[in-house]
Amino acid sequence: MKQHITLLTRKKTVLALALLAPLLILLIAGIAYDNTNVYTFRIGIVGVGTENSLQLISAINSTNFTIVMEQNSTDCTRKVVASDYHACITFADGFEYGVTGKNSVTFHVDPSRTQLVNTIKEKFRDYISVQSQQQSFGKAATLLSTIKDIKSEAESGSKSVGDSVASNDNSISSVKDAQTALGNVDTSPVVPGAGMIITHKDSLDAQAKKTIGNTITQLNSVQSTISVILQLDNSQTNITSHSLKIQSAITNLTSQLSVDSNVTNATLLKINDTVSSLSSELSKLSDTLKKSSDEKSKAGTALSMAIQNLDSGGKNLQAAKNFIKNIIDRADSLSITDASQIALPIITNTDEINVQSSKLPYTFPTLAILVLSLTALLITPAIVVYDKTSPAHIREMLSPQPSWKNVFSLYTAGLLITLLEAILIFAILYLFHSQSADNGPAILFALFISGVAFTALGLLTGAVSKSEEMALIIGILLITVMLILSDVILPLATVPQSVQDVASYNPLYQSTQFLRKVTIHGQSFSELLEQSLPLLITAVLLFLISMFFSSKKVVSVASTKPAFSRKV
Amino acid sequence: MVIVGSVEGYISSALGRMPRADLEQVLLRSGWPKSIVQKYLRQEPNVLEKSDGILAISNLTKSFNKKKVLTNVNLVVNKKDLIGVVGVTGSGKTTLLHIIAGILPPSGGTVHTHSSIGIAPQQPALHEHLTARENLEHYADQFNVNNKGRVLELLKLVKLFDDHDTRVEDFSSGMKKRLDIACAIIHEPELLILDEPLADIDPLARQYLWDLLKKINASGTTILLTSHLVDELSAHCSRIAVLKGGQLLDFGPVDDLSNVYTSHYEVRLQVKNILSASVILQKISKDLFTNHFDKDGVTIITTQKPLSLAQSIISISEHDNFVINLLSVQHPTLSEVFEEVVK
Repeated sequence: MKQHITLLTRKKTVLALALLAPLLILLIAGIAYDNTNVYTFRIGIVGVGTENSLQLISAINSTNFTIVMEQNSTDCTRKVVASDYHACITFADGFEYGVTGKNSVTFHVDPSRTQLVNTIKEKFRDYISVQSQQQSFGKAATLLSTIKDIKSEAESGSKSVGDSVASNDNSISSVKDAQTALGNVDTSPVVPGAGMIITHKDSLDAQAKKTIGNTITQLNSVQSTISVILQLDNSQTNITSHSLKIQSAITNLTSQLSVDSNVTNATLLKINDTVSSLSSELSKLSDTLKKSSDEKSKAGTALSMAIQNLDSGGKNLQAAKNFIKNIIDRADSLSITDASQIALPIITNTDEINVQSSKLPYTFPTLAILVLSLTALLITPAIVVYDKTSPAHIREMLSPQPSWKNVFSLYTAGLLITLLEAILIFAILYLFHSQSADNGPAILFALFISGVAFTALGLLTGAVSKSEEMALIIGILLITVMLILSDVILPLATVPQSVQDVASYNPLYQSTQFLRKVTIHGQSFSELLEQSLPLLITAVLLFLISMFFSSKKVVSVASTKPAFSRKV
Repeated sequence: MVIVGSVEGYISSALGRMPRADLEQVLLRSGWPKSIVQKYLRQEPNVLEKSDGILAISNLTKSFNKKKVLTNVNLVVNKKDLIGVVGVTGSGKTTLLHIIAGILPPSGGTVHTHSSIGIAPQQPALHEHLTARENLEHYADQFNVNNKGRVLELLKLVKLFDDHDTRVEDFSSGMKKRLDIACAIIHEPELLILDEPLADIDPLARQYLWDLLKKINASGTTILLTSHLVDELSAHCSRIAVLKGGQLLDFGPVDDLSNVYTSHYEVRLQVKNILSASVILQKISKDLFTNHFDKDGVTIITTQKPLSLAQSIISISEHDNFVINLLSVQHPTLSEVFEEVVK
């Protein structure tokens, strides 16, 4: 056992690689696979315009899905086909929970991503469940609050109605009081007094008219007499007659006035009596009227109170009416017309968009590239290390051939084997999926550029390795790292952006993408040619770095001090 | 100091035996004019331009992680030399060859060569899954050899023509060594470096390989090879370099080295009781020997006076009644001397 342990300890580089590199991988994987953001998929969204759709998007956005808004589902779906998005979600126009025809959500997704759809649905469901619960709680709370308010308002209404009833009772009492008061108003004394007064008045009027007539007659007579007298200027003779006449007229007048005076006195007496009587009646009437006025006043007060009470009652009733209206409004505001609106607010559909265009199982490109990379990364370094550790290497170092020729020769050998593997892969593809031959040139090219890149990586692995076991360990480690930094194990979208940036240069990832695009999505040769440029540049860089590590270390005049000159 | 031949040749030879700084001191003490010493030693050696030198190494030092593998190695190789580098494992032979070939950079010092180099490393630099012909064609392509006949020529040279379509993995060690050499000279290099070409092959194959190397050497290719087999190196090489602990102990023609290292005698003594040898050595006059050591149960005593020493041993043995099983006098072999030297 000791010699084996010693062997391990003596091969420090290999031991360090074997022990530390896995730790490095663990470190990278540990950083890359931070499971807090394991669902950061790129999702295209179409039809976000309503509050409900925004709510659902926020439900998945908060779980680190990368959300990209798209104008229409055609573009969105095309990007899913091109693997730019993992899925596309289309919301119905005017999306709204529980509204038939507006509550559908459609997932456009590659069949291999149905699990992703389930995940998103789960997120939606969780959100909707929470929303339903919240909605239920909200509704119940609103109901309870409304009922409480209704109760409170009903209590206020009841009080108002009670107050109205009390006001009405008071009004009734007041009206009764008014009725009683009005009943107490005595109008009977007024009738005889008034009749007598009228009679007396008429009598007095007639008497007065008669007296006045008589007086007027007498006065006329006097006036005639006086006129006669005045005409006496010319005749004395007539004076006595006339004076007599005047005397007689005056006597008549006096008599008449005396008669009239008597009459008037009598009348006045009668009037006086009547007035006394009337005064008495009026006094009585005044008392009665005073009593009536009091009663009227009482009745007025009672009626006023009744009016106030009725007004108050009316207001209370109006308040009660308002309360009832409020209750009706509150009940209307609940807008819970259908319990299913809470239980089943959306309808989801899944549109598997690649069913028609997919010619292969989705994993085939990944497996094919994996096989190709294994071939290149295990065989090419083996060839390089064999050449480097071969006894013949010493003599080849002294040959005048430039380093790049040997490196290119090694690369070509590794590439030939890798391409042979690629052809076998294509043959298998053709055998089991002959329809793939439609896109044969593109598939072959994808395999070719993958082989070119992996062989270059294998070349570099061999160039930096001192032994075959070291090359083997490095090769396995490289494959492991490339697997982690690709979407073979988990989608690349699950790693942080910084790691994604690095991973985008991963030949395994790029190659897998290329082969997937040409085999599954039917991408054309020309499109692939354009996209493959970075991978080809990577391959060239790897080749150049390999050349640096593989350059001959033969001592020349220029490289040694003191001078060493040698002609080969 | 008497200089035989050119000054450059002497300095070149002397630099192969000692560091430049030491040689400078030796020359100055010997009365060389300072201007001459400075001319030839203070400047970078240009022996390659003025003599038949093909490779000049001066004060070469190489360290791996602060551990010195080579220290102040000075060596000059002339055209058509067949030089053997001897040293134990870890003495720095392969490192020296790799630095010469340019596979490793030196930590210090200079290596000058303007020659094309072919190398056959210790483990044949062949593609095992290819046939002999394919390997040769591969290296012909690598070294831009357009002569189609060269492959067949070499297959015949290394006697693998009949096996040209056999995969190397099915070859014996000797066949691989031969093919490896053929591949190393595919581009007709002026300097051929061979690292332990004689290892892991049987004596017959070794002999064949020596014949092959001599043919190549005779065609004008300078050969620098390493080996543990000092006897064979001394038998076939024109000059031998001795490395010990990264230092060049000596470098020169085999005869010169033999004169230096094998001029003394070795008296070999084996007595019945091994403890008796110690008693004899204690009683022998110290003037009669310079060194002694035990090897395979035989006590080897080095001396410049072998007869006097042998007589003394015999007389002591007779006096003390020791039974002598073996008593011989001989010059040591170069191999034996180097074996002791490089330990």
